[in-house]
Amino acid sequence: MDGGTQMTTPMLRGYTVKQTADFVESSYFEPQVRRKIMENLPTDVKAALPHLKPAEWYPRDYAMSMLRGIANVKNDDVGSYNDLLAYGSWVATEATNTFLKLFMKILTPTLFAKKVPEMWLRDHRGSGTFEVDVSRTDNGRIGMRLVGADGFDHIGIAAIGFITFGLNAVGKQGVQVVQSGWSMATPSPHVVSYEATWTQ
Amino acid sequence: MDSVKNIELTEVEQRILESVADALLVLANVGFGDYASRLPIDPNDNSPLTSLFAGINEMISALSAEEERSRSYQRELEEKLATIEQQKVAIQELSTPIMEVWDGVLCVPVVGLMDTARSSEMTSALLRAVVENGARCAIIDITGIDVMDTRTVDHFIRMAKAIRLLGAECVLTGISPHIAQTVVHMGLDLTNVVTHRSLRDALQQYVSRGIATSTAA
Repeated sequence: MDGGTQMTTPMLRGYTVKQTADFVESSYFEPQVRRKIMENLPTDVKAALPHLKPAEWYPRDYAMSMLRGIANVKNDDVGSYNDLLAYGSWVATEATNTFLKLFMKILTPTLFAKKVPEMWLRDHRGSGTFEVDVSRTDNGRIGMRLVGADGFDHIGIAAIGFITFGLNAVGKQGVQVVQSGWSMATPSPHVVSYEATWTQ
Repeated sequence: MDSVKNIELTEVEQRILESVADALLVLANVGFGDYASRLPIDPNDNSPLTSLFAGINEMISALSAEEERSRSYQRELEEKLATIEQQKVAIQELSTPIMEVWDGVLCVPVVGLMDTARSSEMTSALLRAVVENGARCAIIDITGIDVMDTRTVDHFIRMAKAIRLLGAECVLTGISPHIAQTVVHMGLDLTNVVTHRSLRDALQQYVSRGIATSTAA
């Protein structure tokens, strides 16, 4: 897939695109909603979906067209946030149940947070970077920033699903992640900031 | 390993844990088919972890080479399959040559085995040719067929019926004594299909009929 596509085009791993499609087609949405999202996808995305290879890179737009579809189901800050959060948790669950299972098993909250930037770059090209502040993990807090994912609509909320799932997976309870930057009016700000907390 | 999450780790233990996490992340990449990832190696570090990392990197390189070989074989195989498919199409075209041997008279020499797919293609091609050429007669010559079973006979009967529906006549020629015996032995009904001993006989009849028609006109 790299061949023929400009390397300046933001790219995503095939398995994340596939998982996005799997989420849309899961029982999360009503059948008519699923059908509508899939029917509204651009022709090239529809054609590519059955042939995706997990490790190969595909244009970011493939997943983003589905993310826009997910966000537009409710089309308001609260409803869309919840749907995008569910999507992020779904992708994180799928990934950690397969390739990342052993990796997640040994992580501590600090180590998880330290690895988030690397894990982001592992699956995204040209969609900015994650910055992490782990100085307050002893107090049950981690600060993160997704910087430079301009144009990648709604990924900022999907990332919360991943962060929440990751902290739960390393044994933390009462995990809360608060974001600032995203809204339906500004779906892909230059910076999305996160404050993750947990109770124990 | 769950205990790791609940105990205070020393700095050295944390570094080791981070290195193990690095290794597992790279192995996870290999697990989903990305063979480009490698673990960082410090040439001045003689610790067991460095040796382990070097071993993992070597294993990934070997897997990567094997994967490339496998892809190469797959490409070769796909090319061969494409060639076979092209040849199959060419053979199919060659196996149903339809010639206009006289004005309004088409001839199809059939060689080899007749199966349902070939019969269907032959019928379609022949019907098309009958219409395009405004043919009055289609001669199917089966001199090149050694064995005929009920299904093959059924194919020819259907073909003849379809040709008659277009207002042309269908003639079967070149029936070998062995096939004639088989047809009779099996009780197959070819009464609705005009037959001639050879292609020459059929041609002679239709050519003379054509001359007679044009003379009368």
